[in-house]
Amino acid sequence: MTWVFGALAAALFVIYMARPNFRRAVLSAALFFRDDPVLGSTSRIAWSTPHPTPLFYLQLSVVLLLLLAVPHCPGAAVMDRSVKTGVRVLVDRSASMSTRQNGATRFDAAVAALRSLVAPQQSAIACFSLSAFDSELTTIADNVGSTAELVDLVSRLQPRPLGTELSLVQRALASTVALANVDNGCATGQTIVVSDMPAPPWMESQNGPASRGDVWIDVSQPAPNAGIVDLVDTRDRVSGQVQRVRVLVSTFAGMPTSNVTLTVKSPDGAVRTEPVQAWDGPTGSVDVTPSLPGRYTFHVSPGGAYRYDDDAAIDVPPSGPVRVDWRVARREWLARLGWTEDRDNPDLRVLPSIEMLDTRPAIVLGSGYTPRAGLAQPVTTFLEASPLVSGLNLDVAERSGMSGAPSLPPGFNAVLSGPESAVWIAERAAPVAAFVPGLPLDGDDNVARFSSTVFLNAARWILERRPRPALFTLTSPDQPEPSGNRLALHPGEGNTGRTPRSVGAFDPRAPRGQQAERRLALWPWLVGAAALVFLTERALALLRGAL
Amino acid sequence: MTRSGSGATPEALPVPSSQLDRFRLRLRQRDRGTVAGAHLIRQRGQSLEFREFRPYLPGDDIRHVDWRASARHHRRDELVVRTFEHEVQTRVVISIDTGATMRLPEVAPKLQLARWFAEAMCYISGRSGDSVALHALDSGQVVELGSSADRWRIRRALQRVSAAKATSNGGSLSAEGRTGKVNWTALERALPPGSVWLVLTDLYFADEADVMALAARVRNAQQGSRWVVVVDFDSWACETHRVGHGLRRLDGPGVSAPELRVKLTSGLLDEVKGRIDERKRRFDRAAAAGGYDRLRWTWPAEADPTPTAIFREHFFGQEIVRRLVMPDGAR
Repeated sequence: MTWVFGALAAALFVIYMARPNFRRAVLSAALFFRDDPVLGSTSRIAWSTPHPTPLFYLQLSVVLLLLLAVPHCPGAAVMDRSVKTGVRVLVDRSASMSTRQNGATRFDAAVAALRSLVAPQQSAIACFSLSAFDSELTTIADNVGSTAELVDLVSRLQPRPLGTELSLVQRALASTVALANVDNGCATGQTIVVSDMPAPPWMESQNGPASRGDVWIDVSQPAPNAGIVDLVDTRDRVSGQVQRVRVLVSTFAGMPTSNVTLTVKSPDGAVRTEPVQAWDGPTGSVDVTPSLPGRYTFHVSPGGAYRYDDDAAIDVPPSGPVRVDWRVARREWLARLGWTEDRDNPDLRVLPSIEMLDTRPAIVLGSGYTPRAGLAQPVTTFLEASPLVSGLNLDVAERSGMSGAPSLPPGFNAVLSGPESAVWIAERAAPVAAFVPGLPLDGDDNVARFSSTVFLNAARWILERRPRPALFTLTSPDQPEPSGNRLALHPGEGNTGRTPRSVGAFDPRAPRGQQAERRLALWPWLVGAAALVFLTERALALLRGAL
Repeated sequence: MTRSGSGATPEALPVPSSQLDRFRLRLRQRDRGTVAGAHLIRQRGQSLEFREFRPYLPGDDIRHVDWRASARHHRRDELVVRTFEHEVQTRVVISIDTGATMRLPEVAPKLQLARWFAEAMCYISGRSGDSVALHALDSGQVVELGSSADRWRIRRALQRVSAAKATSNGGSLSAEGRTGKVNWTALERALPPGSVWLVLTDLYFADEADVMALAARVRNAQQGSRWVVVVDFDSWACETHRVGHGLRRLDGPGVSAPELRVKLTSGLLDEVKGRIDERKRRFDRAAAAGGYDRLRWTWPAEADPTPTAIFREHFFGQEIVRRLVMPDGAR
């Protein structure tokens, strides 16, 4: 609105200035000017020596008043410190807020901190809006009228075993000013964030939330803790079998590492406890080799101040042979590779022609190899980064007598090509498929080894792209409670040793950089005064001219 | 509501009588047979003012023989007679242009300076025993003051003369109808041969014919051994300094159009000034006949000149004024 008014005023000023300004002048010799036409420019913008008359000072006053009234001019607005403001409260209720410190949880500390912060300023606060955040931002209540009501609402909240998504808070703070204009019954202009995370650097960036008066209260205090921070599995690349699970355990805030143990319970009920080893600073690990499919549970002892990282569970999927839809001859290769045939639900299809290709993972075979001694087909191009050519001897390739692929459907990229654009090996990323010259040749010569490498490269490249079930999942807003192998091991939640860092001092009466709407607008008065002075000057000019 | 310069200025001549008392009119009756002009001739005659001693001639009044001087005369056989000035009362007529242009500029109206000049001349003339008449150049009205040195009476007469024009045209700034409509009969009666006629004007007449008519009157007046002094009140420098340069909507006496829009530049002002000077030169050529002088009272190029300073500078410092009045005792 201000800019619209400004643009209108500017347009009027331009129109006014574009009109010639003929000032009245009385001359006793005026009759001698009768035949003199107006010559040259009639623009009123011209240099002239001002006469220090009262009218000149009035005109000068108009200019000064208008300059003062320019929006964002420091003198154009003054803070109205008597106006009450709304306060937006963002409370962290992530899993780490359940950490116990000094005999209570951090969430309890947050409630107390919030009460002590806003209660003394109650008279300057018109209303509150309350939101809670963890891995999502949830509005709890709008237009809360009193501190007691606010504290009561916050007290009813409980930490949830979810992670902390600070980007949500950052976006919320960035939109605080915009929210101030929303007519929802409580125009909030200032935000208080209560969390156990230290204030992030963007709080104090240039024109950041702190510069606008927003406050970040970190209620955390270091509390010794030990817990599982991650579970890293190692699987066979072709079969997908879980070969090893490394349980990573970290200690925080001076928790001694010497007596930290991990208890592992296998699907068959066997329980073994062993000390966490391989400490690299505060992080150690225990390697577990799952010999059976099923659920393995882990427990760290002693767990320390934060409980959600003390236990974990994984479900190890059963492993079996690769299921293959074998559509080509030489079925003995199934047994040689340890694969089983399954036409209904295959992991891989081996096809003799490109026409049989569908969206399922497949290897399409060409017409095979016809090695001829001394007659080489030079390799013209090859895609070095492709795993399909990993370990291939291109000299052998040139003597292997490969024939080019027939016309390949869209999506295939040539990996190895010969003369006259003959494509020997090709790959398709999605749906995943590969074209190779043929099955491995029998024998132990170079070409036989080459053909085996080509085929197995393609099979491994396809099979390792199979979706593999995760050993565990994390809690989410839809399923916030940990259960089975749904864990609350959100990164950083168990880190109870951070140095607390709060930013800003809460003062709802303090001036805020971007809160023009909270300013007592002075510029309309200045413009009005300028208009009044202008009218006075015009009236005096007319009067003087008439007298 | 008038536009500017309404009415006569109320301020009285800011010169005390004690200062004016030190002056007397330098004029005496001029010889009709001589060429009129600035050279005054004394005539021996019957008066109380001593002129010279000369030898006795047959026919002289024996009562004028100065026996004591005759005793000291180097020729013992010769009597010496005392001769006296032949003093004749001088007639001074002061015509005041009361037109609208004379009421400008507002800060120092020409009419105010003219009134002060007339008041001073009337007072000094009255003190010298000379006869004065005031004449309104626009209306033709003549107010006889005789030999009065009563300043209050002089001011009242000046007010009557000054108000004559304002009354006749409602006080507007029109410069129309000056000498062309004036009845000169009263002036001719008040202006006997051998008298002095002072014309106080700025010569800003709307009609060139009026200027030439006044010039013709001035020329004719000189035929009767009258000395005509036209006091030219010129406030051009002051007024142009005040209005400055740039776009102006000119107003003033004689402007016939509703609005006269001009862009004031140095060139345009010089051009207009040239026209005014050319008019005055034509007036001089038409008016001069041996007994004519034009006296310029110029306003300084200041935004707010002081009328008193202008008066003092010209009345007590100008050569021609010194030929009109002189410090008492000077010859």
